[in-house]
Amino acid sequence: MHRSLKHPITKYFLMMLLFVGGCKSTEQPEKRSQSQVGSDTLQTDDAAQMEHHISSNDKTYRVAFTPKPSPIPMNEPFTLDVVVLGEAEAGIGKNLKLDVDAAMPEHQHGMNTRPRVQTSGDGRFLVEGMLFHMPGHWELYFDITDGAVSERAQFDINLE
Amino acid sequence: MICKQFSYFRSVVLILGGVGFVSQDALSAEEPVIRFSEQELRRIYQHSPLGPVPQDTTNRVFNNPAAARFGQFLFFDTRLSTNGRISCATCHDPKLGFADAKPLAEGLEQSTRHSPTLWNVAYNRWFFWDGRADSLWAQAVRPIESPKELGFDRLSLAHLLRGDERLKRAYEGIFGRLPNLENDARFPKAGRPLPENVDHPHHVAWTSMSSGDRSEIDRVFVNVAKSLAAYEALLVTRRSPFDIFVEGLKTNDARKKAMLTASAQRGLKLFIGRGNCRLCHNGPNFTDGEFHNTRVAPLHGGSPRDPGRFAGIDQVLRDPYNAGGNHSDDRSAKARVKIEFLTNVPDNWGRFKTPTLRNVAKTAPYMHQGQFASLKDVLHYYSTLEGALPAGHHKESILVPLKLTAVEIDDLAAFLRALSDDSVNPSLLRSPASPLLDGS
Repeated sequence: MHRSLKHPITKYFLMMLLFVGGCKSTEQPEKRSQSQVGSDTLQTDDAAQMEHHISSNDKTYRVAFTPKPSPIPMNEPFTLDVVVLGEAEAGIGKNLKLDVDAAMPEHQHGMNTRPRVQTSGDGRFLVEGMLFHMPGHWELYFDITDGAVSERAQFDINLE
Repeated sequence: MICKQFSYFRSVVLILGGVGFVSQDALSAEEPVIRFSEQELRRIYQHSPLGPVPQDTTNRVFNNPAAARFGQFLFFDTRLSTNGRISCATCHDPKLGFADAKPLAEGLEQSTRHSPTLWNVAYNRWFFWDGRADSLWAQAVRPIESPKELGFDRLSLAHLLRGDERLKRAYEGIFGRLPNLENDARFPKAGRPLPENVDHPHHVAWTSMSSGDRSEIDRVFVNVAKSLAAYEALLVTRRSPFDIFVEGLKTNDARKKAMLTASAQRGLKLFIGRGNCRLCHNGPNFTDGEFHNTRVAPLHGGSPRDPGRFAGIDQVLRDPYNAGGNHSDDRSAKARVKIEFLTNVPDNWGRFKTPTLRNVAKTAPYMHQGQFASLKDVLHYYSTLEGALPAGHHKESILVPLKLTAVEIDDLAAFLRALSDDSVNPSLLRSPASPLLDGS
């Protein structure tokens, strides 16, 4: 998906869609429950500017993220700016929790660090302590938990 | 660089690995006519040039030439040992690749691990085979008091500096006045903390001191370690035949490209290709700086008893000399980033640090207990995994027998020998006449 986003027309189209979606949610606040955050416009704007966009495995969430620095460096620490959005218009739960991890499935090992996730409580997250120490195929996991329900979004990275 | 379609990528790698390899039959011994694919060239360029030494902001004298000279003098000074016959250079001999050519290090007693080389040591992320120190100076404090290494103590060290006019001048020129140690009641002649042996005379002497006086001695002790680190950070090798060869590849300079024999070039192709050596020996210093279980059996047989990284993580997190400790000159979040996010898992048991391969031909024997006498022995092991320990609960599955031919082993060894560099400043390889920069 991130590849197609690089096409300027596609990017413009998506930006417009997200913009419309964002306006819609601010125009119709009555649709949101008390447990939902109130800054969807900001979130969608933030999300649109992220480099990578994926959906969680049950399509409940969209995860947009940008590594810093980008592209992800080999064997150097990096951070992730992450925005989590609900796929449905209703937005996401206020107490949403995000856990981030990564592994090399072919070698059956993960990172040697435990990332720390900080959130401002509005679906935006900062992930620190990431480090891919080896070239090859990494899977990046975003585990989104809302109450008792946890859902994973994952992204494949080839670190050459 | 980032690709979601990994299965596609994997296929490409396999195909390139097959097509890109030039059979040894097609080459005569010394004709550097190996062709590298675009992907291979990208991988080769990841290994050279080696950039500047990473700065250690936790050591304020890291770039201080006077501290480096002072440290170099102390590095070769046998007075820093309890028997007066051992120095840092005993196990890290410049003539032996800053190692000692023995399977196990021998200071006052024989250690349970091999002496690692100090070449490019300042590029390490972690120090010791188990990474129980997070900076070069935090490493340097340990051998001075280790009963198996120098067996010295920090109070004796302070008295040595105070009693030697040149050492005193060198120290005070960098760090300011040494404490006045004349009052024996306040500053016993010998002493150090030994919480695991509270009846030891050194510990008794140490605990008899006021906390303020102990802090003064600790500061001297740490400053010596920071000076040793400033010297060791100068031990850089980055101008090997391989590095010149890479320059030749980039500029299409035939003379530079001739720096690697055909055999070494074939070895390079294996190194970055089918051999998968670059998985752990990656980057310009040929190491990921991390820890792996090579499954090599202990030197003297039996079951493995060395926990390696598993214990090292707990130790570095508790180390009073780590980046977050009182003696660190930079306790910022950035300086602490290594320990801030460090985590331990059972898989770390028996893992040891990936060593650099620069100057590797000078530092036999190999592995964390010197189990292999030669590079060819190491390559034979990775080719066959003969004698490898069972994987046990270890999940990491990087190791697979490479099934190398005898010629391929020769080629890889030729490439590894081409990582040797003799261009270092010779004045760094011996004890200086004086601990002072002006030579007085």
